[in-house]
Amino acid sequence: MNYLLAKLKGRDDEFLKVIASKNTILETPNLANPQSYSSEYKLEDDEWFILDNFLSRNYTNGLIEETFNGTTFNQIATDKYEDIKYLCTKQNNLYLFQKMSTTQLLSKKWFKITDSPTLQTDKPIIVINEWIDAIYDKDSDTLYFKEIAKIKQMFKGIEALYRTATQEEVNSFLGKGFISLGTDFTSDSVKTANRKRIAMAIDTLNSFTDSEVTQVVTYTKSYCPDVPTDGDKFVIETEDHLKLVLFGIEQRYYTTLIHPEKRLANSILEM
Amino acid sequence: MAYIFRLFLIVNSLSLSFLIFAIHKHITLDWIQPIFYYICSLVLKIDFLIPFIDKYFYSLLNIASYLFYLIFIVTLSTASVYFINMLSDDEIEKDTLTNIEPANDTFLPSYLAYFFVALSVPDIEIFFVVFGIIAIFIYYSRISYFNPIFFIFGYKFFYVINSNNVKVLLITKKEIKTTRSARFNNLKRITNYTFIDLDKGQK
Repeated sequence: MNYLLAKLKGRDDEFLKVIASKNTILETPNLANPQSYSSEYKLEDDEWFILDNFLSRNYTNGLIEETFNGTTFNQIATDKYEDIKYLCTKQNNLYLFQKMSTTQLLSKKWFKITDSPTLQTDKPIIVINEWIDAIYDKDSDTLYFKEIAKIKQMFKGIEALYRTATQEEVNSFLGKGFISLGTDFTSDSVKTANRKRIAMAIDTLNSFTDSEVTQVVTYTKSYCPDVPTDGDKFVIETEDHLKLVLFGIEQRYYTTLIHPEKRLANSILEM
Repeated sequence: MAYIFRLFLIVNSLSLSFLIFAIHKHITLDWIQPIFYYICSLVLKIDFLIPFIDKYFYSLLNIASYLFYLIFIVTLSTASVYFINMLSDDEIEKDTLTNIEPANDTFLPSYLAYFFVALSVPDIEIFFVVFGIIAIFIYYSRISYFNPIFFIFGYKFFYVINSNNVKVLLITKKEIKTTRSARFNNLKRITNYTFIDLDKGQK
C-alpha cells in the first residue's frame, strides 16, 4: 500500500494521512546518476546529489527515522489542506518528498471530462506535481536531492551543508557599500561559519531591491548597537560583528509584542 | 459524505436500543397484522399448531413486529458493512504490531448501559431525544467505533499496538492470537483510531 502524507506549516513532527492507495502516487524518477554532494557542483538534469548513511547525520525529519505504520497517522481534515508545507509519499521503501507550492492548490472552477459534466465551484483541488524535491531510500539509507534550499524545511539542520562562500564572494560581500573593515580585520580572517552565512546572505541580498537593502541595514542598526558604525557603514572589527550583521540581513531579529524585548531567532521555521 | 456515513454508522450501533425500547413498551406495527393473519391462516392447516397459536395469538402478533425490527436493524448493519467499502484505505504491514489484546469484553458492558437507558425512558419522544444526544456525543468523541451486531457477522474487536506505540481498535474476522506475521492489507478507516479489516477470516 502506498501512502500520501502531508506535513503542515508551523507544526511539530506531525504528519497527516491524505490518501492510501495500491496505485503508484508519484513516479519515481531515474536515480541512475548519483553525485556525492558538493556545494560547488552544478547538477545535470538527470543527476541527483546523494547523502549516504543519512540517518546517522541527524538531519531529522520525524518520519523517516521511525518504522512506518500507516495507522499511526490521523486523516487530514478538510480545513487543513491549505496549510500543507510539503507532501511525502511512501512507496515500498522509498519516501518521495515534494514541497507544496501555492500554485498546486487550485481554487478555480472546473469540471470533469465526461459526457455529462457538471460545473464544480468552491471545490478546490490539489495537483500533484511530477517534480520530486527529495527521495529517501530506506534500504540503502540514502537521500537523493537536487537543491538544499528546497529541502531545508524537510530535514532539520540540513542547511548546514549550504556551500561556503568563496574568497571572491567574501571579498565582494565585504566590499558592499554598507560595510567597512576595521583595522585588524581582513577578508582572510573570515571563518567557515561566517563564510556559510555569507553564501546565504549573498543569495538573500540578490533578492532585494536597493531600497530593501537600505531598509534591512537600518533595521540591523536598530538591533545591533554593539556593532560600531561609521555614518551609513558598519565597521566590522571582529567575527562577531560580522555575524551580527549577517543575522540582520537574514532578518533574524525581532521584538516581542508584549513587554517589548529584543530577541534573536536562533532558528527559523517558515510558517 | 464521509460525515453522513459516520453518523449512519453510529445510528446503526445504537439501533439495538430501539428494539429493547419497543419490546419494553409493546410498540407494535399495525400494518403487520394482515400479514400475520395470512401467515396464521397458512399455519392453521397444521393441526398440532392450532392450540399453540390459539393460546399465544397476541404475543405472537407482537413478536412478529419485534422480529421485523430485528431484521430491519440487521439489514441496516449489513448495509453499513457494504458502505464501509467507500471509506479510505489503510494497511498494517507485516511485523509492525507489538501487542494484540481482545476488546470484545471491554465494549459490551458499556454498551449494555444503553440498554438500561432504553428500558427506563418513558416514551418515544424522550427516547429519541436521549439517544439523539448520545449519538451526537459519540459522533464528536468518536475515538473508537463499536457495533454489537458485527458480532453476528463474525467480526471480532481487538486493540492492537504498533511499533510506534499507537493503540488502535481493529475490527476483523481473522482469529489473531500472535503478532508474528500478522498483516492486514485491506483495512478501511472508520475513525482515526478504528480500522476494519474487509478480508475474510481463514478457517
